[in-house]
Amino acid sequence: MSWFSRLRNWQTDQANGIGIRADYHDSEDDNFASGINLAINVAGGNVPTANLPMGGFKHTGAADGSARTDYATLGQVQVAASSYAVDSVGADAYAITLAPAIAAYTTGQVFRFYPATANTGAATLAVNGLAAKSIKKHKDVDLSDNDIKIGQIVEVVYDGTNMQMLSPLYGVVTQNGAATFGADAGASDSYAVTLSPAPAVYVTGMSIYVKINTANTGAATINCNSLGAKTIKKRYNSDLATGDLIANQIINLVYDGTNFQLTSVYGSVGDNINSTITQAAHGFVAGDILRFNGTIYVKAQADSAANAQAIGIVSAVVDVDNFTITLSGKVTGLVGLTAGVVYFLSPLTAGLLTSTEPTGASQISKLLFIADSTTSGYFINSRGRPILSAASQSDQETGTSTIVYVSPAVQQSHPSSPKGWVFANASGGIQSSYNVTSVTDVGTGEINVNWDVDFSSTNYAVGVTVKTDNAYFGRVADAAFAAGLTKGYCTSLAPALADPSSWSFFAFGDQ
Amino acid sequence: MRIAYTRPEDGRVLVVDGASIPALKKNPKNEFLTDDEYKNLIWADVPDDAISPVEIPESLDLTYREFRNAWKQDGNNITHDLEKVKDIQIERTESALKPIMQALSENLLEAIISGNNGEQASIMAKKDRLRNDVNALKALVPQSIEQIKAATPILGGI
Repeated sequence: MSWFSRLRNWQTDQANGIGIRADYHDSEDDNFASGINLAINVAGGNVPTANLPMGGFKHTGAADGSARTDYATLGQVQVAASSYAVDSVGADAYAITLAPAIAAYTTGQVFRFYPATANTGAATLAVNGLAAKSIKKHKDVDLSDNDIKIGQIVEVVYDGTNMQMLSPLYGVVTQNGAATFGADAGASDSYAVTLSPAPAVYVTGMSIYVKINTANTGAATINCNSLGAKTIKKRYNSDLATGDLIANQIINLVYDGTNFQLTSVYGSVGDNINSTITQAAHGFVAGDILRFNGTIYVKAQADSAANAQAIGIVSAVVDVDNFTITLSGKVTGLVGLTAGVVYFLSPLTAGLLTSTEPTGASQISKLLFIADSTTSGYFINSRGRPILSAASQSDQETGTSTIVYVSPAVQQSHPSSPKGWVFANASGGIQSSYNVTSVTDVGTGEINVNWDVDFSSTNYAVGVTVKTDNAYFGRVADAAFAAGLTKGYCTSLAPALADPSSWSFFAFGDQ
Repeated sequence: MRIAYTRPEDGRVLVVDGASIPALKKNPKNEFLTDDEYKNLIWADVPDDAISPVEIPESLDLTYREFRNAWKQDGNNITHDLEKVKDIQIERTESALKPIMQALSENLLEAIISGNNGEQASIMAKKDRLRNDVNALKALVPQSIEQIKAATPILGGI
């Protein structure tokens, strides 16, 4: 750094007795001239010979730069004229002219242009008459139709070979979806799609859309760009069932690191009502019939009304702590079924179905499932019907049970029921009766009633009445009273035996 | 089904009238009762010592019971033992005459006390006539129920 300083001090010279000397003035003037020549000329006549530190100051009032070696003003930077231009050529061979013109492409150079036409496939860009460079998307992929839209400001960066397009790909992203969508070209259950650009590998979280060509007939796979077939799962980890995918359906699949999980509504999902339950170490398997005990889910069993309160069937086990329960409708993925067979809740084994309707005492007949194949069917939560046992004679005679039903065959065994009765005419002709084999006409005013099932002893109650307009009365003979026979007399006031119009006997007691 | 038999101790005819099969089938133990079982069931009500037990036809009318205890068996028919009918009629007559004779005796005592000889003779004659009627009945060789009944006008007038 050079600083100007004078050579002489005229007052000091005067004080020292030095007079005016031409040589001193010449050297001082030469020193002035040297100092002036070190300063920048405001007219541009002098130029720096080294970098100019500005000491924290700036150039103001500068004109816009026009040559590549000129300063750019902030205004110029905002206008970006040096990197932006309107395309002047046309589709697929875009050309722009920047000012100042670039002399050559440099890696990292950014260009922006306003396309006058949309592209129709691979395209190029030429800047300031330099060689046209291919415009690529996704690093090195040629453009597809309409990746560049008319009027869209396109930004590209020169990578040393091509112009990589940074602007959103109008056609790919917004319209054709080719990066994530493909029409299946594989066979049923072995689906295949080709995405563009092709994914290099499967990545967890990768989401694709597939238009199904043929309905599936069971477990199915998807293969993207020949990266390898991956199983399609529904409900996290369940294989597909027949008809889950139908022809022409567009499905969404998300790769979970192992399989592609189906997130779309699939064929049979609309036919049922499901609920996903979280219960630590639940221990259930698909097909288990469950009930809720007030705290947790447990296996239902038709051995009591409480245990038979089934609410659904386990249709999928997500993991040890989670499962899906189907509350009604179609269930798939089961085993050991017979199409057309009706299944009931098992009274013998908790959680199981049985094709044999429970008939045991205190069991519950609860229809739950109708199979339509060996692996699927419909869950129908019908109301359970308690199986009541018929009361035995002993039950009736004890007369205290509240869990058995009284059948016509034993109702008469209850202590409150008459064990036999008969209505007979004067000669013992039976008009109606119960538990009476015969009536014996013994004589005038005397008949025997022969009970069919005898009483267990003579400790039974029996009554006899007679129908008559005379002053007769009926009575039971004491002498002939037996467990299987009751003798009745009809006596007048004479007294003498006499025939009434008819007889009625009725007896209560233990048989 | 009816079965008639004769009781050995007094020779009286008893008639067992069986309940119908439908009625018996209402009893649980007879739910599937066959015809043979039905017959056996009714026959079981006939005592082992019964004399001449026999099934009698349903058409046999047994509603006439005026002399019920005089029935006798005649094959599978039931008729009347006329001696028993006469005995029954004698018993009934004597039973009927008993209060009449007692009243006549009281009237006779009053006639004796009052010294009414004519009344005494009239009462004595009436009592003799009644005794004679009974004696005549006892002496009767019965031919028919109608004959027996005709021989006891007092019962007809009672």
